[in-house]
Amino acid sequence: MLNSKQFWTLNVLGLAALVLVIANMVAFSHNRDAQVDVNTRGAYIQQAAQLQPLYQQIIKALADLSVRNNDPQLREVLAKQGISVSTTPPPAAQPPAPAAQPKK
Amino acid sequence: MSSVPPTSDARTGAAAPSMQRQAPHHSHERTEREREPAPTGHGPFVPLLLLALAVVLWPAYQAVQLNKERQNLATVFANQKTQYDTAVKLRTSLDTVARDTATLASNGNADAKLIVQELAKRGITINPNAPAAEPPTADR
Repeated sequence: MLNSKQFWTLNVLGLAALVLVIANMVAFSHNRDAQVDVNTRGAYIQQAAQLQPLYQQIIKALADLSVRNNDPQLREVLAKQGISVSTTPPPAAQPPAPAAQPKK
Repeated sequence: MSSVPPTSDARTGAAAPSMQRQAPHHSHERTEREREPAPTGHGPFVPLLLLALAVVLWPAYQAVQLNKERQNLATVFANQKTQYDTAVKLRTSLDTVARDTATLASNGNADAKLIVQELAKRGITINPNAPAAEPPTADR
């Protein structure tokens, strides 16, 4: 037979095991949810990376067409994105400086 | 070899002087042996303690591993924040531009129509009435 001390030692160990098992179940569930969140966000980031060239192409097409056809509506669409398109032509290239005369 | 029974009791070591006197002495000895208490030092505590320790240590090890996994996931989640914010911004901007362009095209803007047609050639159709896609939860 077990004496009192042995009995309570085994009881405490059994209780600790029970608590640990329940805590592990909860932690496992939380970790699984966290893993799902991380995977979902990773997929979202991956999709956004794939959409970035498309976004840039649309913006470039809008800018080209708005400048070419002087379309204020397209310019407004771009302005909503914080993109301003100016129709002022770039300054003409400076004429090349005359070549230095070789000294005689 | 022939199996001759020993003349002395092997368990007690006592000599058996004759067969007639041995029988009552032997039964008396067996009765005394049955009355002896069980040998001490082999109680159930030690095996039960070992079993209990094994039952405690295994989930304790699992708990440590699960805690490490949780910390790693939290680190990955935190490291995704910048990329995630950029992705949300990009998706929002793309949705807005596409929706505005499609609206302009439906209103008769030729340039917007051209863009929508080019996108349609690539298999991209814009539904201006579609609700904006909900990004995954930002906080846990």
